[in-house]
Order: sequence, then C-alpha cells, then structure tokens
Amino acid sequence: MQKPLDSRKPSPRPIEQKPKGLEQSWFADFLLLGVFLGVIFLGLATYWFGQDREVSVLEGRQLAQQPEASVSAVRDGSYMEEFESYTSDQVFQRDRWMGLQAGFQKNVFQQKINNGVLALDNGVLIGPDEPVRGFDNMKRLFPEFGATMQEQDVPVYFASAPSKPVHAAQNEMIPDYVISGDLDSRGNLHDAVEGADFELIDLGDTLFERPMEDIYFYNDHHWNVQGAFLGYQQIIERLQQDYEDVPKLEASDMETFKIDQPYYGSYAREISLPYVEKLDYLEWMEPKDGFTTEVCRNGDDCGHSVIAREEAEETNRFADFYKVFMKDNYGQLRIEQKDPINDLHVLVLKDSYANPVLGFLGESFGTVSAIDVRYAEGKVDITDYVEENDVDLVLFMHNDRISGMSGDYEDSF
Amino acid sequence: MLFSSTVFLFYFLPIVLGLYFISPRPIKNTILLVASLFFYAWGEPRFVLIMLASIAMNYVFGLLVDRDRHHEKKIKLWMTLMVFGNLVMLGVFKYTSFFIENVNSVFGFSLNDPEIPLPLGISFFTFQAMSYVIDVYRKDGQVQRNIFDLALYVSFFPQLIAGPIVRYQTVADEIVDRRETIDDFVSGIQRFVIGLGKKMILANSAGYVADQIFGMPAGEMSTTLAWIGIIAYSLQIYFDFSGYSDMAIGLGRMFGFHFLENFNYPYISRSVSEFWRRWHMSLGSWFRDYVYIPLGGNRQGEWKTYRNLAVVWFLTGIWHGASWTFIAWGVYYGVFIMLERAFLGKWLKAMPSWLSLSFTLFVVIIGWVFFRADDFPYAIAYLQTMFGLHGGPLFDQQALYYLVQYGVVLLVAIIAATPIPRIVVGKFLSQELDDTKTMSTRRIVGLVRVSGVLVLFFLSISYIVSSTFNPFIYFRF
Repeated sequence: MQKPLDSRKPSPRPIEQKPKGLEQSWFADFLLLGVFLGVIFLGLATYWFGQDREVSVLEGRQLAQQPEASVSAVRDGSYMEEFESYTSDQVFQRDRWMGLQAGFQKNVFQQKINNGVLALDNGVLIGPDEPVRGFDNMKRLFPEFGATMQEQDVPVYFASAPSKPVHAAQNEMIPDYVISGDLDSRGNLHDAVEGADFELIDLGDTLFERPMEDIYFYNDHHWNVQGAFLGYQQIIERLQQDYEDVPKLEASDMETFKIDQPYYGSYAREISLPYVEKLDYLEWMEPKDGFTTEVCRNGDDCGHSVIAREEAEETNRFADFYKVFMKDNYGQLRIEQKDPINDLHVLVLKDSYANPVLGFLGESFGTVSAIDVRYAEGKVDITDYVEENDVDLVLFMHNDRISGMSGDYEDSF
Repeated sequence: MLFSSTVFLFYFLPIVLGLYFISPRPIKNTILLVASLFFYAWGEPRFVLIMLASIAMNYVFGLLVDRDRHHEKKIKLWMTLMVFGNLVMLGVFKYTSFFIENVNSVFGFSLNDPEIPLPLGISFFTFQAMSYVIDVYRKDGQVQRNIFDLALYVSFFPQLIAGPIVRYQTVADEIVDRRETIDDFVSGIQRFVIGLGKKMILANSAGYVADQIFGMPAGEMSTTLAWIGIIAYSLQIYFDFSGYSDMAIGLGRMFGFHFLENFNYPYISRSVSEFWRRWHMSLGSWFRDYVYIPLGGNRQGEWKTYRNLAVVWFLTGIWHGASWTFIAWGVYYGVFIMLERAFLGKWLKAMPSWLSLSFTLFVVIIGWVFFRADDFPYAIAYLQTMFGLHGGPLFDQQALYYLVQYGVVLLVAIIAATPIPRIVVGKFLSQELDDTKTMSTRRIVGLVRVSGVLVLFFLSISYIVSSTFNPFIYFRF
C-alpha cells in the first residue's frame, strides 16, 4: 500500500522499456521468436497429427487418451479434466522432458532424492522409508495362522530377506540427513514373526556380509539372482535340519545366463534415468543339466518353465526383465518335478522377492506351491489349501516391506 | 486453465496466437474475447455466467454514470448502487460461508451453510470492473459503449485469474487501438518465459518444502525446521505470484497490451510501507486510489488518517480470503504501517540499511505464517515453535534433510528474489546495446540472452511435464 497519498500520482509505467539499439539483435530475437513458436506449434501438431501412445513403459501405466465430449461432461467439467490429463500424458517427447528435469535437479540443484528414491554414492538406488511400527494386524494374524497349522501338524517357516534400504541402513550407507526407519520396521516384522512361533530364517545373516552391489540390482528394488541364490541356500540349510532328504543346489552346479540389454528397474524408472549411474544386466542361473520341473500358473495353465526365456527377448528399452523369473506374479503357482526326488510338498507364501528363488526350491522339493495373496483372484483360504493339498510345510518368503499385505493375508488366512 | 500446463502451452496458446494474428483487425478483439471466455469456462463453465453478469452490470453503470455525470443525486445513486452491486456479488460468492460460520459461532445459531462455490478470479474481475466505472466517473477513462470491448477488458485471459489488477485507464486506449510489434512480441516471450521459470522451477520447489513442513504438527518440529518452512513459503508465494504476473504481462505484450508492473523486489524493502509499494502493486494502488483517497486519505487529520488506514488494511486482509487468518494478516500490516507513520518510519530511516532491511524481512516473514496457516491455533503454535517456545529441539534430522536436499534450490531462490541477478545479467546484456562494442560482440551477447531464455523455457516445460509423472509401482507397500 503506497502511503504518500496527498495527491493521486500517476501509476508507474512498465519497468521494461524497449532500449534503443535493440534492432542490432534482430537475429537473436528472430531466433527466440522462431524457437518459441516452433515449440508450441510442434506440441499442437503432435496432438493433432501424431500417434497417441497407449502405455508408458517408463511409468508402468496406461496413458490417458483423448476423451469424448458430451454436454454433460463439459457442463460438469469432467471433460476438461480428462482433456488436461490427455494433453499431459501425450505431450511430445514426454519421457525426454522428464529426463531433462531430473538431470537438472540432480546436477544443478544437487538433489540426491527424487520421487522418494535416493541415489547412494556407490550408484545404488534405494527407497528409504519411515519406520512402520504397526504390524498390529500381523501380530494378530500370524499367531492365529500358526495355531491352525500346528493343529494340522504343519510347521511354518518365515524366510525374511532384507530389502535394499535395510541392507543399506545395516551397513551405514544411508546419509545422515535421510530419514530411514527401515531397520526398525524389519525389527517390528521379526517381532511379529517370533511372536507367532514361526521359525524365522533371517536371510540378513548371510546377505548383510555381502556388498550390496553383489546381491541387489543397482536400479531395481529386488535382489539379483546371486542374492536370491544365497538366500535359497540359507533356507535349505535351515530346512535340512528338519528334513534331511532335501538336497541343496551348489553354485558349482549352476550355469549363469545374462541379458545383454540394460535392465532399468523400478527405482530407475521412479527416480528418472539421469540418476542412473551404473547399469544392470539381468542374469539368471540354471542347473547345468537344466531345470527338472514344470510350472502350472493359476491352476491349469501348465507346461511352463521356471525361466520365461521369452521375456529375455524383449527389446523395449524399459522392459521388465525381472519377469524372466516365473514370467510374472501369479496368485497361484505350482512347480512339480517331472521325476520327484522326494514327496515333500512346500507351500510358499510370497512376494516378488521369491520369484527367482522358486525355481531353485523346485529342485529341492517334489512339489512347490506358491501363493501371492496380492494377486490371488478371489479369496484363497490358505488353511483349506494346506489341508486339501497335503502340504508338508509352509514357508513365508518375503522381503521386509510387507506391512501393506496384512489386509490380503487377513482375507486369506 | 493454468499458464503452467500443457493444455495452455501446446493447445490454447498456439491456437489463440494463430487465430489472432491471421485475423483482420476488426475481429481481433472478438478473437481475444472468445478465447478469454473459453479460458475461463475451461475451469468453471457455469461461472462464466457470473462474470458475464458482472460485465453487463458494470457496462450499464458505466453508461448511466457517463450520462448523468452532471446530476449530483443521480450519479451518487448510480455509484452507490454500483459499489453495492459489486460488493454483494463478491460477498455472496466469497464470504457467505465465512459469515454464516461466524454468526453461528457468535450467536449460537445453526444456520445452514449453502456452500456456494467460489468462482475463479472473482476478486480480480470484480475489482477490475469497479475500476472501470470509477474511472469513467472520474473521467480517467472514456465510457465504453461497445460491451464486447468492455467484456474483453474484464475477462482478458492473461490477467483474469491471478492479476495483475489492470485498471481501465491503463488499457482503455489499447483496447480500441493498439499495435502489435515483433519487438513487443519478443519481449513478451521473454517475460512470459521468465515468469514460467519462476513459477515452475523456484515457486514449486519452494512450495513443495513449505507444504511438507506446514503439513506437520507445529508442535512436533524443530525450530530450524519451522524457519525453513516459512522461508520456503515466503519464496514460494513471491515467485508464484510474481511469476504469474510476469506471464500475464508477457502474454499481454504479445497481443499488444502493456500492463503495469506488479512486483519490484519486495524482499529488499527497508520498511513495511516500502514493502507494500513493491508487493502486488496493482492491489495497493487500487486500494489507495479507490478506497483510501475517497475516504479522505491523510488530509483530514491524524485520527482519520489512522481510521482510513485501518479500513484499508482490514479490507486488504479480507480481500485475500474469507478467513480470520487473512484478516489478522491484513490488520498486522495495518498496525505496522500505522506505527511507521507514527514513529517507526523515522527510526527505520535512521538505521543502517542492513538493520532496517532485516527488520522488514522479519516482519514480513512472520506475517506469512498467518497467511499460510489453515487456522489461528496452528499459526500460533507455528510461531511458538519458530521462537523455541514449544520445547522442541533447535535442530533435528528433518531440518538437516531439507537443508541438504533443497538447500541449493532455496539458495538460488533467495538470490533470485534480490536484484543481484538482474544487475549482473543486465550489466552483461547491456553490451548488446553498447554502440562502442563491435557488431559481432553485440550479436554474441544477443545470442547468449536468447539462449538463456530458451534454456529457461525448455527447463520450465520439463518441470511442467515432470509434475505429471505418475508411476504405478506395484511394490510400494
């Protein structure tokens, strides 16, 4: 509010006045004019004449398509909202614009975190999280489930793989300024497991000693096949204490295969490519004589291998090569040895960390069933499943970020 | 529709520019009017009718005032009805809920809140429309007999949603007769891009920090974190608002209009009065010319001057929003303005500049707490934390996080809020106009200027597009 108010002064004129001599800059000015108009009209032309994309592999989602106009949609404004989504999703060179922004943010503003993902100094990307203290549901559900299994004389094991942030926190790799409650969360999970009298197989015992780069992808939230194989070996070593006949694969029995195309995992896609300093190349391991099992997906879709080699042939830059392991996440899987070496039937209750392990487990047990409660269509009653399928033991196979699955387990126990 | 959206940049703007510049002169205003109504309707289709009603009402009042300007009684009647009509319209849509809430609270009534939605930009277009009639009354502008031209003045899309409040006298001539030039167009692009950059890169980054911190319980944060939050908010609101004003001024210039400046580095002010001569200047001058001076200004004795100031600052507060925190914010400034008038102004003038600048900045930043807080209790709790009265720590890990993660961008924003970049860049760019330099030097400097603008343009687009990044990552439990 201007205060010398005794007279009505003329309002200020624009500060920017055209300076004399600017005509010398005609080339620069025309360049600016041309590029500015060129860019905005190119954007328009792309909407009108370009091919709309159906999906964004980078973001892992369907992209908005041009909405259909109707009087009611225009009147209530929903058409405009959808149209804005359409123009955002279909803007020309969308992925490149996002890469430019991330690169600027990283290199100029020195931000090491983008979209919740942190780039560590060793090039590993992690997603540290606030501590999850609750686990109240699991502290209630696990003992109930354990008691039911005890009645059926089926032992329950819980193999707990450390997530990447937990490994980083355990090895003090997370910078001081980053808030990470991941170790606390893992402790809370283990409290819930031990409170239920499950046999805890803490895979951190093996994996914490290994350098992160050896057992996890740089750019994905999963462990790699080396980490998964070490986890598998520790699980079998523990189970051999109770089931002497269970054989264990050794590294010397295995042959490693590699996809030559770089693998941009979930963290790479979340944080954006300018943050990716080290490339991953997905590997998988097979027994030198090949796998001896056959996979049935979601019931009767049988005859598959535990390694989905067709996924390795994907050429899309952002192909999810992790699908090489079991093809995808299925509600139910069944892996049977063609020539069973024992008659043990293990039920694995899992998340995606288990996918590379399932193939190895299949070589150790006559039958491996796997249920992923997140993807199970309709309600799967695990108790009934155990009883009806003569399951000998139940193995939870999870990384430590499973608090969000308690609702799914509540529906399935 | 926001300027900082893909639908504006790559759909609306090229179409409107294309249609405007290929159209013959007689229909250029029609193109702009239709585009502006479309722009407004895009966000709120039904509220176009309200804006059109406001335009029609003030068009009629303008004609009546012009016709009866020599009939004292009639003109008083028309002016009273005009002010009443506009304020009723503003009051119904903006303040009904606030009024009912307070009446219920004070008198124990249980009146139903009709929850009338707030039409976008109603405060801006109502003030602009009033300015038209008042300017006609004062002969500061010619009466507009063409309702479409008046409608264009009120609804012109660059300044429709977030100002600046363009007074009728400023653009009256340009509505009927203007020239679009390449020089204006290019300087308009530059100004638009600078505004876009301020909004997307600085305001949004600072805003993210402010939103995160103001989303926390005030009593659970450290003193340092509370200060980071309010400094970030101070930067956000400046770059957001001044960025929009820059974009509006730039867009106006592309079409041949010359709006007045709205900001002039407010954070280097050495007094609160000076701050308000540099902050949202179009609102300040509107209240000065249309409220303060008609009330008598400072020419009717000290007591009435203070009364007039109190009225103006109460109105300034409530104009910003229907909430006691906004009123408190306005009154807070009113008190400081009065104190400066009484004695503080002299003290501040006598102080070293760094001290008066620090004092003013301190007062302004504290004021923003009321502006940002959702309610009084939160504002008070936040202030207590800022001054260590909540028993929380001085510093914590979260403060460290925001300093490390956002320290550089906040520092850039702080520097950009001062005239330093303008002085440094201006000194370099002045060579472009320096006759003593060789032609090649001047051209190189010109290219550097344009390259800078284009880099800012591309970065701004990248920030717009990235703001819609929406990954579906299934593993996040």
